[in-house]
Formats: sequence, structure tokens, C-alpha cells
Amino acid sequence: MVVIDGKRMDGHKHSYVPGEKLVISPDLRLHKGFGGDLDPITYEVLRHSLWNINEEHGITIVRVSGSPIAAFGYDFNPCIMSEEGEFVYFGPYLQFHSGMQDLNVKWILENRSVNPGIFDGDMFLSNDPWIGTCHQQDTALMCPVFVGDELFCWVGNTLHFADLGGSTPGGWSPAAMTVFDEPVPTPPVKIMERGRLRADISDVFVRRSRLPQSVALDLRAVIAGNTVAKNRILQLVERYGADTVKLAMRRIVDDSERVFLDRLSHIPDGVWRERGYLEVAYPGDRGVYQGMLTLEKQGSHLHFDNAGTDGQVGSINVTYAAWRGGILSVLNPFMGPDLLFAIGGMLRHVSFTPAPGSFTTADHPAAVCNGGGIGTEFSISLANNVLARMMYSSHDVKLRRYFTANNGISQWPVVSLNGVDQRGNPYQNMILDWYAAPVGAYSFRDGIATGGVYWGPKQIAPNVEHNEEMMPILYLYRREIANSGGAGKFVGGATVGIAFTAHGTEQILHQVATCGLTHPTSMGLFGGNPGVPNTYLFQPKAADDEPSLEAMRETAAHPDAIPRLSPKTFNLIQHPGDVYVVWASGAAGYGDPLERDLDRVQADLDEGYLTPDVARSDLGVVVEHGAVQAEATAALRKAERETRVGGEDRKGRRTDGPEAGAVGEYVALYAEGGERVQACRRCRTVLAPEEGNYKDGCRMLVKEVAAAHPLMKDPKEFIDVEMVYRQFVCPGCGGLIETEIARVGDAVLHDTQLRLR
Amino acid sequence: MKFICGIDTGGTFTDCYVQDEQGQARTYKAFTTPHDYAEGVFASLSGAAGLYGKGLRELLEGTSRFVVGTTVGTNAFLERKGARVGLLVTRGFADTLHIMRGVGRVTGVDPDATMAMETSAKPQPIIAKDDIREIDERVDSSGQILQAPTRAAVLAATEDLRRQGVTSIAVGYLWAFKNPQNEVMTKSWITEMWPDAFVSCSHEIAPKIGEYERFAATAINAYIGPVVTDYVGRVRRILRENGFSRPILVMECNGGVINEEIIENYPVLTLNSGPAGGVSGSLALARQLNIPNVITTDVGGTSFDVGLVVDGQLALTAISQIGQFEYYVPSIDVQTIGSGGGSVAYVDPARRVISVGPESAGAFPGPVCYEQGGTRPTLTDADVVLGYISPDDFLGGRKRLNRDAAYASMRELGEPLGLTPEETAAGIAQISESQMADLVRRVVISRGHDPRDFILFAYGGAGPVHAAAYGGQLGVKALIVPGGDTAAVWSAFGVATSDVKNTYEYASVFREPFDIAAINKIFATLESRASKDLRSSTDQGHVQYVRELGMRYSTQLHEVYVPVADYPATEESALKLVAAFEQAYGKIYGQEAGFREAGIEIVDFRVVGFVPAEVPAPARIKDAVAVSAVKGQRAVWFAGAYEESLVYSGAHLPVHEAVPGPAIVELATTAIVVPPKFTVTRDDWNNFIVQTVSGNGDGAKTANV
Repeated sequence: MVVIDGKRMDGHKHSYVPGEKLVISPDLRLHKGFGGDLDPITYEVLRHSLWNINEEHGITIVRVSGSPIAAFGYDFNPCIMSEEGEFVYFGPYLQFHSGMQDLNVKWILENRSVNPGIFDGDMFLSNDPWIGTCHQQDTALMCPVFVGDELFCWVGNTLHFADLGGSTPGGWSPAAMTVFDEPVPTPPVKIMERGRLRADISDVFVRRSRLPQSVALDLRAVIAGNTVAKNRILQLVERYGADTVKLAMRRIVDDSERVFLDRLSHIPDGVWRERGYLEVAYPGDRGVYQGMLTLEKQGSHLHFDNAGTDGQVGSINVTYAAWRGGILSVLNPFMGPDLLFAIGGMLRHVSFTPAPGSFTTADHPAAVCNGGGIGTEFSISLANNVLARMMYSSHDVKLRRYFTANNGISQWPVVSLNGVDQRGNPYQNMILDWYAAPVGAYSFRDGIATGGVYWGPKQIAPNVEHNEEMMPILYLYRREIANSGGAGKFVGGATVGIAFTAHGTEQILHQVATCGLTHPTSMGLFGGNPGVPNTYLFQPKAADDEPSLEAMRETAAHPDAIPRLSPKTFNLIQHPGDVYVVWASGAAGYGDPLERDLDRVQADLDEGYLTPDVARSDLGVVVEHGAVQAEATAALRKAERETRVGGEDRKGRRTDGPEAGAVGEYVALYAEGGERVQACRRCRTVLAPEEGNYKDGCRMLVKEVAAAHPLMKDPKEFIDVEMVYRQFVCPGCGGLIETEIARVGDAVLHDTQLRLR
Repeated sequence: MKFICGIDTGGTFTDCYVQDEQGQARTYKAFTTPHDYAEGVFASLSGAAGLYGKGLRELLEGTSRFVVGTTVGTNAFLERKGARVGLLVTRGFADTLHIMRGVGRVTGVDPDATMAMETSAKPQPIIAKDDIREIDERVDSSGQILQAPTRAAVLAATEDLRRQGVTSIAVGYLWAFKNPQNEVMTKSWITEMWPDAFVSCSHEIAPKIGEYERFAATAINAYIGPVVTDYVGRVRRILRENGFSRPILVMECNGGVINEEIIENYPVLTLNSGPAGGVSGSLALARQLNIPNVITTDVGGTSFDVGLVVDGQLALTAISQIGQFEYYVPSIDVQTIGSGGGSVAYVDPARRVISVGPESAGAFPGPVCYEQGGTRPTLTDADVVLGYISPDDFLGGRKRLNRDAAYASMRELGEPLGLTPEETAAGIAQISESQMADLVRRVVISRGHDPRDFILFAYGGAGPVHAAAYGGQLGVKALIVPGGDTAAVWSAFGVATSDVKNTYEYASVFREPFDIAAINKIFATLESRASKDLRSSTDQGHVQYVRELGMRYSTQLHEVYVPVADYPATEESALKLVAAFEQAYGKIYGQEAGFREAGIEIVDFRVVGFVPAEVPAPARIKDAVAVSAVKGQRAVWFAGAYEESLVYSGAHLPVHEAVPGPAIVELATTAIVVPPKFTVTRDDWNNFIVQTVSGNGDGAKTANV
């Protein structure tokens, strides 16, 4: 473990952060396997076989568990790790578990190799967020694989269990103030001992749940998954020899490392920052809290820190494992889309410095049970933009095609339902429709409406009919929400929204525990607008009589007229006839909306993704009778650019030096003699010196935060803090360069600082 | 003379299989003609007739059974050349086919491509948003009609769509499988106004819970309907003009065949029917040889398909996939990877190793050795270099392969990695074979079976070449290359010999204690539909039924189909059903994986109605062999060195004589590679059984029963 500011990052008070070298009992013999040889054919065969083993591991979990969480949500991930906990393969399921599983193995090696010892046939279970999970529901099971008396490698998995106790069914507690209000975290315990399930430990774990049978079943599923993977690896060892298999494992990691290093070599050194906000930390709270993420690239190394993040508060916190997992959920697909989830090689060159006690790397005993819905997604949304900006700066323009702007569900819109179903049985369930969230805009094309987020590619939304069968609800609609994507040169995909009423029951008891209602959490890139915030609307029926289906549809069709819910709403009761509308937070746009191609605008209008009023307000496009008017649009856009500049002549100096590096879509470094300056790429107006903030040279337009998105409402109903939307415009040409959301008084964010050598 | 006749319209060739009363078979390959597929059918049929010294009319007048398998619908779908479809849908749910449950960009996509955001995309929609109309109607989960549609609204929407240029209508209402009345009324109004409209309703096409997969099946049906109908019409014209007057049967994705008139209403049944022919043919052979469990493997030019016969039955999957869409139509459970003879080998720049596939050189430009402009080495090139395939006897000597060109391509590929051309070729084969073995293992194990209980069939152009290598490492009882010269056109054989069959489904949730009377009534209704359809397809044999219930534990999502052993069901047989379900669930998902306390539900009803095909058994091989089977010998690469191996002509190999490896047995358009420590034995019906010398002899005995 490491020590930060005198704080021991050992997984007790502070999150566990392993050091460079693990402290492991000398009695535990590790298989290093430096012998043997590996021809390229055997390597390719083993590479494929190991991938298949990990797939079989995942399939086994789905099969045995059979729970909707595993079978629809795919809320799990299997992995293969080296003897010292380096990832060989990670699975194609929920990506944020990747930041957590290796931490468990390293902690086990450092803390369990002496007492009780690590032996063949053992498996260790853990759901401790301060060690290696994003919230207590996500339970890891790590299995050492021995060849002879040597620890050869690890297989392991993490699965979201339906209920592990605590004050709220399902574990999502909006009102938890400390971990003592939540499911009990369990540091790694040996639940399988030399091939046998320990009845005492198993009972301790199952006893805490409201759904003991389901927990027992899930436990069997994760044990079966590890057993399958372990046996198949041993078969490979038998056929090819331990040293050869180990060489293949190392080579898989080495290869992914080389690809990653090659990509990094095309990216200049620099610092990239992103800032975001979460609101209402607990019921009754009216605060807004700042989270920061800084990425520093130096040579072949990436370093992340969260300095500047506000202190832990209420129920919006996560620990180091979740914060890191959120970052890796972005790093994997953006920087290693072709590595077949062999992420270990990248991790050799990525480090993290958490700020202990901040709400994104909280200390014990902070409340962390909402980590899987709030903090992890928050970490993803910040990492999305620092990595995207870094990749944009690459000399290898191919990398600019690998990232997207922020996807939807940048805060998971919890809709947790409880009550008596249409058949008179008690139920507890969640709406999982949000897995149809949209993909953000690319640097070269539009995002994907309801495309499914990149950090959970296999996650699947249930059918409406399945939900109506499982719960006493009647949907009024499930549709793609027009105008919900962020505007931009390329727009974010449309998000998914639903409206439903209670049906076949007297009432439904609801809980809301999320953030990102009062301001967008899917921030855009290079002037692109953010996606729509999470939207919760609730219209109680007017009279005692249940309104007709037509009347409820009519209500749902006019969202502006429906009262809003707080992001932390407790025990909301819905009767038949009450209309509940929820839209998942949307996907962000890319680039200046005034540069949007008119054919694309016409297509969006034709398909109903865009309405003429928003085409005008957000894209500067004039539409008449459904048709884009090119000439009128050109005039309107020209006028808007002039308005942005403010009519003043602030053009300033222009540079004519050669481009020496891309700061972003609209700002570059230009060489001037021995010096470099940052200037607008459109008109060459000089904005800042080389390491200054280009925004200092921009004209800053400050608007109410509601201006960030056409579907936004005034946030003051739920927060006291004033939020603003800042647009940074080139004073030379009126082109939009970047936007940001901030609390009034927060400094202008310095998002990109290249350090060319 | 009575013939049976099967046509398989594939991507490159239209294969014809004809068998006479004595079981003597002839096959003919003609080119597929995409501008008018019926032309290829005509050519292939005429060619086959010629082999019997007959004219087309003479052949057809003597034909008792004619079956056609077609990829016309599949191609129209994949190339987006179907009809312009209008969709009427429940108000609020117009976007169902666009949302695709949020998985449209990853469904059926290789795992390594799911993370590559740059190229990730949803499939192009088959119905434009502008061609979708929402109708005010609603049924709830109990089947109660909350709102009935009005005639005026339906007619206005239909007229509107028609004016826009729509030529085919799909109707998808929520819960229509539970209570179809709103869809039924809607369809009647549409056909009243527009009598020749092609209307597909979701409760007819796919009566199951889950609106996305149900609407998708309905929309796809509407989309390919007019194209398939046109094709069937053209084939019918050829046949009728040439004297064939019996029902024309069409291959379905469920492994059966059915009357063309039913296909005209349910064209979606022809999607994914390509691999079904081969699997269905395997079932026929498995029955003849009395083998209960078979793994079918088909290695073609671009893909490797794996299917299963378990306990003498074809495994059906409830959900089918095509082009990133998922839809409800029961089809033969076939898993595919892009690994075949045309798979391209390349050096992965990142890893500096050889990788193979999934990209295929296809038929054009094809492998390097074809000399049609292909420059990148393929598995077929490796086969030529290794001596597996004779460069002189390819396609019966009609095409010469250039081994030198293949060899040079291996040198070029392997040299930077320090590999000789032979090592490179052997590596390509080994990599492909290990991927094939991995897929087989995954298919068998993930369905709860043990490979050791199976015999593996290997067919398709490249199946017999690699079977010993990919099958040998699985621990199966034996490998069989079925049908001798038929192995390379095994799909056409399957098409010709499949049972008349169709599946009928109904979905409704029943909880314990089960309402036995209601369950029996549902089966009776499904059977009367089955009987009518099947009788229109054949006047021979008795209609038989397999009745299945889709059951699950209440809180779990996995549905398992359990055969209903006693029918009509009684209270007592219901108990047996529950026990059978629990046993089946345990077998697939592991003992103790069930959650009995939660209760058990019946969610789906399925009747598979079938009339066994009356097909003469293949002719027994005559023992007397006039010609020597040994054609010569050549150097074949096994385990790191060339070994001089005898080359046999499969058609002349004596039966029951185990030929030891290393050896090559040449068949029409393919070859069986017999490595050292393997033997191959020809049985009485022209099947070739490959076994390890130290292997379990039971397999051979079973296969020869």
C-alpha cells in the first residue's frame, strides 16, 4: 500500500491503494514461469483459448444465477489475472469492475497470504468498497489457481447481488449518512477452503439479505464461474505446460502494453482537466458539490488525480476503487478498443493519486451504497472528457475517431419500485430501461440514439411487456426523446424516456436516489452542448376518479406542465392514474452547433429527432414547413456569430506561423520564431501564450445554466447555489470554442495545457 | 421411377440433389443467379435431369417430392432490398424497432468489435420512422382490452401510408399475443380497404411475450414477404410449366419443410434456413444409423456452423438473429464463426503473430491458389501447401489450383516471423482448427452437454479436411463424414430429405397450481392449426406432434422447453412435468441452480407438428470393388514434417476396412485428411468414420448398427 499525505492507504480508514511492490508472505510460492518457449502459432492458439475461457466463465454466471440482474443487466464481469494480480483478460460486460478486481487480488496477497494463507482450492469473497468494489451490492469472488505448489494465476468475478441488507431494500439508500446505514461491507474472507464451501462463512454472508435464496444462488453462480475457468486453465497447462501458458499470458499483456505505448507516443505531454457537479447529497440538502479530475501525461505515463474535489458528504460518495473503475471504463474502449479487453498492459503505465476524504475517493465510514449509480458514472463522465481532449491532441489523427462525447446515463436514473403486484405478491424491482441510453457525438459523425453506453456494451433493456408482467405498471410510452441529445457540429444520440402509471395495484412505493437533475452531467466537447439532464416528472391525478388512458397520454404529452421530483425523493406513492415520467440523462454534442451540416439537420427533422424551434435556438437553422432554409440560415448564423462577438472589434492579433500542436478542435499551438502561441484554428486570432488558458483570450458569454439544454428547467426549485453556463467564443470570428458549467464564482476551468518539449 | 429432388440456392452455387427409388443420388451444381434466382434453379434442375439422361419435364413428372431451400429472403434483408413497409403500432411505442432494447449495435457482433466505438453502429432500420403510425389502442398484461382501435383511425393511417408508397403492412400491438382482438380487427379493416395488401400481424407471426422481438419478426416478415412471394411464384411457374403438380415444399429455419402457400404468408420462416438443411440432413442420417447425439459441423468458404442433435431431436432456439436484429421465430440452434476455407490469414501488426479470419476472400477473388486475383493467403491455400487438397483434382479436376502461388504467399506471410512456408501453413490450419474446436466446445458445454456423449459430423467443402484436427481434440466418440461424395453438398441433401414440419406457438403465463384444462385446450387449438397446414403440404404419412412447454422458475429468467410426455395432461402428469423441468434445468444450468421456493411458471406453449419424410434409404454400397481405391501417394504435412501418404478414391474404398493414417481420401469437391494415429472406415451407406487408433471403439460400432 502507499501513503498519501501521511495517510495509510490500506483499505481500513482510507481506500486501499497498492504500492509498486506487493508485500507477500515468502511461504506463498508464486509461479513466475521464465522457462519454456512460445512460437507464434501456439501463442495465437492460447490467446484465443484464454479469451474463450473468460467467456465461458461469464456464460456460466448468467446460466447459474438466472437473476434479472445477471441475465438482463449483465451487471458482472469475469477476469483472468497473473499470479500477482495483473489483468490478462477482462470481460465484455460492465467495464467499471475493471478498476476494482485487481485491487482485491493485491489486497488478498498482501493481507491474507500469512493468515489464513492462500492455498489450492481457496476462493475469497469481498464486497468492501474500501478495498475493491464500487458499492457493497457488487461482490467479488477471487480464486487462486495453483499448479503444483505454486500460485499460477487468478481467476475472478464481480456480480451485483440483488439484496445484501442495510436500511433500504436493494441497497440504494438516498438517506444513508454513513456506511452504518447501509449493507455491511465485508473485506476478503475465505469462503471456499481447499475446494469446500465454508458453511459458517456462507451463512454469515447469506444471513444479511432480505432475499437469502437469491443470494445463495448467486453465490453458487460465481463459484461455478470460477471453477469452470480454473479447470479450463489447468487443462491448458496440462496440454501446453505451465511455462508456455504463462508466457502466453505475459505476452498478451506485453502486446497490449506495446499498442498502448505506441498510441501514447503520438500524444504530446500535457495536463487535461474536467470539472463536474453533483447536487442534493441527502433529502433536504440544497447543496451543489464540485468534483475534479486531472490527467497528466508525461512521456509514456498517464497520471490521474482528483485534487480539488469537495469533501465527502451525504449519500453521493464513492471510494478509490469506484473512481478508478470509472476512469478505466473510459480508458479501455478509447485507448484500447482493439486489445480484446487485455487491459493489464495499459495499467502498467497508468497511476492514480486519490484525495482521501473527497467525495470521489471517500474515507470510511462515508455512505457509499449509491456508488454504482452516482459516483461511478460521475467518474466516467469526467474521465470521458479529459481522455477525449488528450486524444484529440494526438499527432495520429486516427485517435480522434476512437472517442465519443459523453454518453447518456451520466447519472443512473434510479426508479426503484416496491409493493404488491397485480397477482397480490410482494415485489421489489428497478427500471432497467436505461440500458438503452444513447452514445455521444463523435469527432466525425453523430452519436447513436438509444445505442447503449460504451462502458456496458452487453447491457440490455427489458421489453415493456416484461416490465408490465413483473410489476403492476402500465406504460404510456417508451420512446426516443426529441431534442434530448446535446447540440453541436455533431449531435448526441437521442435518449430514452418512459411514462407509466400504476395498474392492477392500489399503489406503488418509489425511491429516487440519483443526481444530475438540476444541471447536465453529460458535458459536451469543444463547444458541443451537454445532453439533457435526468428528468423526473410526476403528475398526481386530479380527482378521485381514475383518468382515462387518453387523459393520461395527454398529460404525458405535455411534460412542461408536470411537477418535478427532487433527486432524493423518499417514499413517493403512485396510485393508478398518477403519471410518472422519467427521461435518462442524454448524450453530449461535439463542436460548434452553428457548424452543423444542413442535410443532417433536415434528416433529424424528418425523423423527429429535432423540432424546428430547437433547430433555430440551438443550431441557428431556419425551418419553414418542415424544410431547412439555407439562405435564411446562413443569415441567422452570421447574425448569431456577430452577437457572440458582441459587436465590438476585439479581433486582436492574428498569427501566421505553422501549426505546432492541436489543443482542441478549434484551438492550436502555432510556432512564432522560438515561441508558440495558442490561437483560433478558424481565424488565427491569438488567444493565449503556450501554457496559458486559451479561454482567457476568448469572449466569455455567461448564461443561466438552463441555457445549456432546451429541455432544461430552472434548477432553483431544488438547489440554492446559482449555476451558470459559460460559452467561450473566439473574438476574431465568433466561432464557439468551448463551453462549461460552473457554480457562480468558480474559476474558469483550464481544461487543456500542452507541454511540448 | 419416383424421384425426390432438393434445391439449395446458396451464395455462389445453386446445388441440386436428386435421389431415385433405389436410393442412388446425383448432384449438380449451377451458378446462383441473383438477378433472377429462379434461373439458377432451372439450370441446376436441368443439369441434374441430364445426369439421368432425362429432360426436365421427364424428371419432374417422375418426382414425388420437390423441396427448395432459398436465401432470397436473407439476401433481400441483408442488402435492404425488401418492400417498403408501413407499421401500425400501439400509441407510445413507435420507436420500439429503433430502440432495439439498447443492444442494436452489439447484437451478434464479435466481442472484440463491441468496444470499437469508431465503427460501432446500429443496423440500418428496415422501416423508416416516417412509415410508422401510432394507433390509439391498448391491451394490458392480463389481456384485458383497455382501448379498442377505431376503424376510422386504422383506415386513415393505412391510406396515408399507402399514399406514401408503402407496399406491405406490419401491425404490432402490445400484448397482442395475449389477446389478439385489436390486431385481428385492424387486419380485417386493412384488407377490406386494400384487398391485395400483404399484412403481417404480430400475434400471427410470433405470438410470444416481448414486443421488440415480436415486432421485429413481424416487420421482417412484411419486409421480405413480397420478394419471397415473387421468387416462389417464379419457381412455381417453372415447375408447373414442366409438369410438376404436387405441393412445392420450402425449407424452413426450423429444419422442416412446408407448403409454399404457407411460406407466402410466413416468409420469415425461410431466414437462416441455410444451415438448417445440413443439420436436418444430419438428423435423418443419425436416425438411420441409430445415433442419438450428434454435433454437426459445416465448414464452408466463409463460416463454420455448429449445430446439435440431442436424443434424436434437433435443438431449436426461440430467438433468432439476423444482421444485428433479434426476432422471435424458432429456428435450429446453429452457432457460427467466420472461419472457413476462404478465411484470410494476416500478420497482426500489434501482436506480430499470424491471425486468421473472420474476413474471407469469398469466391472472388478467392484464395491465392485460385489465380483469380487473390493475393492474401487463406486457409484453402494452407491446405494446398500442406498436401491436404490435391491441386489437380479440385472440383473434380474442373479447376486446377496453383500450389506454387499458394506456397509463395505462405513464404511472404511467414518470413518476417521466422517461419518457413510449411510452418506458416500448418500454423494457419492449427489456429483455425483451434478456433473451431473452441466454438464446438462452447456450444456443447453451454447447453449442458458433454462432448464425450456425441458423434461429430463434418461436412461442407472444408469440413472433412480439418475434422480430425478440430474434432480429435474434443473427446467425441467418433467423427463421421456423411454421405461420401454428398458431404460437400450436404445441405441440398438435407433440403431434399427433411420432414414436413412447422412450429406453432402461444404464450401465456400459468402459475402453480396449473389449470390443466386450459393447457390442454391451448394444445388442441395449436394442433388443429398444425394439422391443417401440414395436410396441405403432403398427403402421405401421419401428422405427429411434439408438444413442449416453456417453463421457468418465477424469479429467474431462463426458460427451458420441456416435452409433454402424457397428453392430454392430467393433474398427475403435471407433477411429472415439474419434475422433468427441474431435471432439465439442472442439466443445463447446474444442479441446485433452480430456485424451487419461488414457484414454477409455464410461459410458452409450442407444438411442433411434423410428417416424417418418406425418403428411400441411401443405397447400400456394393461390396465388390472393381477398381483399386489407391490413387497414388503424396507428401502431406503432419506434426512438423512431410509424410508420404497414400491417397485413396473415396468412391472405390472397400467397406469396413480401416485405412490407417497418414492418408487422404478424396471425395467430390473435398477430401478427408487422416492424420497418423487415426483410421478411416467406410460403412455400408457411404459414410466415412474417422477415429483415433487408441480411441474408443464404441463409436464405430454404434455408427454401424
